[in-house]
Amino acid sequence: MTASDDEIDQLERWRNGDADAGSDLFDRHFSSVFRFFRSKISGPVDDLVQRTFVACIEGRARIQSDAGFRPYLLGCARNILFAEYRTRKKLGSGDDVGSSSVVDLDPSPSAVVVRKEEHALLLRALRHLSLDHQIVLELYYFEALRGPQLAAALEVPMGTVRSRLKRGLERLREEVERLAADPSLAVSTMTGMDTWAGEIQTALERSPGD
Amino acid sequence: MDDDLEKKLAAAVESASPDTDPEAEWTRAAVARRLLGRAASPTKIGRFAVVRFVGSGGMGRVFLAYDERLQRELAIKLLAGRRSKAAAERLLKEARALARLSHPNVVQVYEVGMHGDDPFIAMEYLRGSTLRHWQTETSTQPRHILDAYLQAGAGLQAAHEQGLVHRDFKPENVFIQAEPGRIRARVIDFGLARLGEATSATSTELPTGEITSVTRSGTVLGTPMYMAPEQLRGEPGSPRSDQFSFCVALTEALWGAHPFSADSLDGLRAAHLRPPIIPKDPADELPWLRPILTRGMAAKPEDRFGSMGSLLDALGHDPLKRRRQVLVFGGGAAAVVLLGVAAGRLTGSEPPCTGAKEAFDDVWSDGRKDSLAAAFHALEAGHAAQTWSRISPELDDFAQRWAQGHQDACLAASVRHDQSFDVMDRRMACLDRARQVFDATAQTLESRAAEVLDRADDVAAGLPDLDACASVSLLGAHNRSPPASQAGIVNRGRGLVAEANALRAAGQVALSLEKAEQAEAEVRGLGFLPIEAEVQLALGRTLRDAGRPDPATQALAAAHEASARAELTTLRRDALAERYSLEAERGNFAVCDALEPGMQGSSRLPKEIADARVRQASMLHLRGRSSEATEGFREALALLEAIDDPLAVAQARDGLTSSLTAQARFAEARATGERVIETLTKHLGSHHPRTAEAHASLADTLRQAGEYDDAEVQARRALELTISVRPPGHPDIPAARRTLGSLLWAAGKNEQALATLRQSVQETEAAFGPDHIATASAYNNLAGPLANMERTDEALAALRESVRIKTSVLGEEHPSTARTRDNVGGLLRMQGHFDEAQIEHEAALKARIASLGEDHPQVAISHSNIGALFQFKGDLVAAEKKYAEAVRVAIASEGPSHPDVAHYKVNRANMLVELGRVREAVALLRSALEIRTAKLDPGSNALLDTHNALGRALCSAGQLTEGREQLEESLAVPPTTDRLAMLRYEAAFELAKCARQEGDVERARTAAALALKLAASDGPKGRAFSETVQAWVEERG
Repeated sequence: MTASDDEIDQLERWRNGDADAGSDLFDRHFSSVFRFFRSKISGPVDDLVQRTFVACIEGRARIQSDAGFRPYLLGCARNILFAEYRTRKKLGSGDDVGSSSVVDLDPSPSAVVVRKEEHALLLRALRHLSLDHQIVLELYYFEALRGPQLAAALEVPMGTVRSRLKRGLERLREEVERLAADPSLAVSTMTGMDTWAGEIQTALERSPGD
Repeated sequence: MDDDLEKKLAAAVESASPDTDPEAEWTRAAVARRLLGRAASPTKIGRFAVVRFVGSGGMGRVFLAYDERLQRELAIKLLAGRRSKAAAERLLKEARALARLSHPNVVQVYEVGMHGDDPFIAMEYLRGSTLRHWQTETSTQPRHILDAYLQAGAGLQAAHEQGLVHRDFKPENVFIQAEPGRIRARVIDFGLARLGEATSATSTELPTGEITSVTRSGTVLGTPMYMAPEQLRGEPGSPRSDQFSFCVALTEALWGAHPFSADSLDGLRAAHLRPPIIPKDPADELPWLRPILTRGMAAKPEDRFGSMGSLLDALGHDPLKRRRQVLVFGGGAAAVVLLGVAAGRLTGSEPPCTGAKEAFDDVWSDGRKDSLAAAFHALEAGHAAQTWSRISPELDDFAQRWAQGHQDACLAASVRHDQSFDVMDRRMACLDRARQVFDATAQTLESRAAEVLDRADDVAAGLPDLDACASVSLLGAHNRSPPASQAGIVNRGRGLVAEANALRAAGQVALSLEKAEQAEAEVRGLGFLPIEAEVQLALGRTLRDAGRPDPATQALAAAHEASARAELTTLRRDALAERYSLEAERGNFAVCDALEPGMQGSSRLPKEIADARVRQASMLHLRGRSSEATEGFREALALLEAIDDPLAVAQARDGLTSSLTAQARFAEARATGERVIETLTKHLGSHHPRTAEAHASLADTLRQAGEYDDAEVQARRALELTISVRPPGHPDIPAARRTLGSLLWAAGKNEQALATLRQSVQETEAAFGPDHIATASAYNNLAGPLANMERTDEALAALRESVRIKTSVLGEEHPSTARTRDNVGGLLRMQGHFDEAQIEHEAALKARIASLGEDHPQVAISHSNIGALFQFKGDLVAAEKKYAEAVRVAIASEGPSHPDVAHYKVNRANMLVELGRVREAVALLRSALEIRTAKLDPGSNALLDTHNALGRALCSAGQLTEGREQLEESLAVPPTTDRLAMLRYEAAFELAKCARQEGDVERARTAAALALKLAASDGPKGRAFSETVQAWVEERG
């Protein structure tokens, strides 16, 4: 049995009430799910992360065994993300969330903590891509998912995966160049007020150029 | 190319999900708990436990956290990112500046710290909504909007006063909290707050490009729509740019339209060049605001208002509000005034602000004055009439100044417009309180005239300081009248406090305490801070007078806290000053040091600064740092030169007298002391407690200078005056007796001293009880003459009683306890109980070093006493070493030319002579003689003693001529007291010995005969001496 089979097994056990199995799975995959939401949604993501795991446990979807647990998990995350955006932006089911970008959907400052200068521009540029492109790039480069796994996670055919990746990279380069060139388009760190859910955050210090 | 990008992309994951990030940690723990039931210890930032992640704002993320120690929730802004250590430091520094700002309209920063490499700021967690939301969503009336903005403006002003600038003021950055009956605005997000200076990394020129949308965050330094033109040009923000932003926001809020509407940066810049557009509105409720706001939005900073303060004052002048205020006030002084103003506006017939006299009339009418006068004259006391003639003009004066202050407060706001109505409110509230105190004081004087007669001057002097009601800086923001439902209770409380204060000033400690406790019970649970503070302060002072320092400290601390929270600056400082002097008295200098910073107010008045200097100097004096104290008092006097306050000057001079005395600068101290007496006699009369005290103080100085006769004159005068101004049983009387007694003892008049001091002990015990510090002091002093008269058992009993009391009240290590134990040691030594004596002396030394440090005059005393002990035991080597130590410490603490140094040198020299090291002894004695000649009175015992010692030493060294000269000098002083007699016959004997050495038999015989003659009249000691002389004569022939 492969490692991914192990995990599918674990999921089954978890579904049947084995908390240890669940704990193990959770620990191994928490980071992936967390960063998936972190880069696309402002505000606390604990609820979304929880819902993702819950969806996994409760979902009746068959997991394609050759793809494995992780793509399944991340696919759930993606669905939950899109559902969340639909709720927040009051979009209908017909609207194509995937073609909007994070900056369109959620202009609040990113909560991603960027430690290295060279990553800053990249992570910012990603937010300007369409969600479809951003997600495919992240899953490929951050989560190291490959072909069939990507297809499983995104629920699209392999061909689409390939073209999205290619186009995504192009778009990314364009955005990087565009952002690098025009400082007035630098991400503002100034607004400070996220009024979502009626909660107000208190912000204090600022310095430009995150 | 692709390769490069791809590589970067792959590496970027590291940034996208840092491992040890509090948010990630918390999220993981939270989800694990819910999903798997896993318990984990809370994520922490600094010492705070994270409750949850709230979201991202500005340059950091915000967490809701909990402070276990203070049991409160708070918000933590974690500023994680790419920042150099230097930048992080800068940030912390700025945040700390913000933490120092404490204002009701600014979010409170509690703590600033580092979480790993990232700075965090812990602050109040606010619940509510932003001003943006509040002003648009809820249907808010323009007046209420204005009120909210005025509050926010007050917050900005407070920050400006601290050197902080907001730089990004807008409705999103003001929080509205709903409180019962009102709202409270809190300015938040001092995002671009710099300490008024540019930091090069941040001020960059904004490019002239399109801004794609004014609602999208798209600029480098902040939403431009509220920014001042100079900020758009890249200049750093300033208080005036905050003013600009404030006015833009307020205009938009009131009229619904942005005064510089634009949809591009260029458009905005162009709009700034034109005057702001405020829509015309026929139904405008607030027309007078337009010109004010227009000025605040002037393109050039120099054209705007000088400060947020002046802008706010201008905005606060609402003529309609005044009319409404009449309805709110419903009576009292202010209503009369306001009606006058409003009426004036409408009818133009009455002059404004004339209601002051009427307002004061019901507490100080002619009728009341007459009945008070009658009360005084009815007393069968000789000085009642005089007392009345002294205090009645003071009362009149107060009434007059009150009326003036009242009128001025009104005129300033309604006619001159140089103060806002808000300020007038506060001044009136202050005056109202002052009036209440006056009322209660007059009441007490009238109903308890007999009891308070002797201290009526003090009572009158205790009337409130009206200047404080005029000083805006001292009024505080929370100086409001109590809510109507509480007014009755608060008034009663105030009345009781005033009574307590008056009684305390009159020396009626027990009654005063009763009243203060009643007041406390009355206002308990009200939650109205000003009255709480007043009650606790009165209670604290009374408890202190009652000799209960611990509960006094508690009450004073409570007073301090309440007055700090209510922003009653004068009250707070009074509480602090009271506590400070209480702790200084108790010798808790560490606490005093801790309280010191709080007492540095933002006082600009010379009188306050002078008062503070006097306090500091007094503390230094108590700690033995007399030269610094002298400087401090001199500084205070210099400051007071500009003010006409002779009593304050007298107080500073009094302190100066003490410190000069401690420095042994007796001539100067005497001159100063005499001036004090002169001033007080002139301003208060000779029959006044303070004048009496001044005489006692001078007596003390003269005693230390060795001028016993003059000192006795002063001490007797002090006692006489005290008896005449204090009622029998008043503690000041035995205190004055004690001063006289100590003096008599020092002068060697032991019998008289004993009688006086015995009486003093009785009186003190009657006044204070057997377990009071004053009683302890009295017993301590009693031992002196008893010891001199060699009634050592009685002396020991007295001292042991003193030690008992002091140990229980002050503790073992207190310098005063040490002093008495040292004296016990001395007595035991005299009795020959050397081991017990050593125990006491060493305990005293240890206690003194622990509480005063190694280089303190009292430590020198201890060393000397232990030296004396060794001397008695016959261990001269050890004795000499100890005396040398005493010399060293005395020089270190008091300077090389202090008489104490001379004293110890003489002791040491005496040992050296016995040890045969005569040359060293002579050198020391010469030095001692020099010091004493310079500092002491020519006829003083100490000087004679030195001549004797030097003479003896010189004779031993073989320098017979000089030795003889010294001794002859000693003999040349005419005899006046017992002790002097002993020195003289000792001198005579030494002379005889010396002359014999010289071979001058004739002189030797004469001298010996003189010695015998003198010794014969000196009781048992003299007789014992005579026998020694006789023996010598017989031996040598």
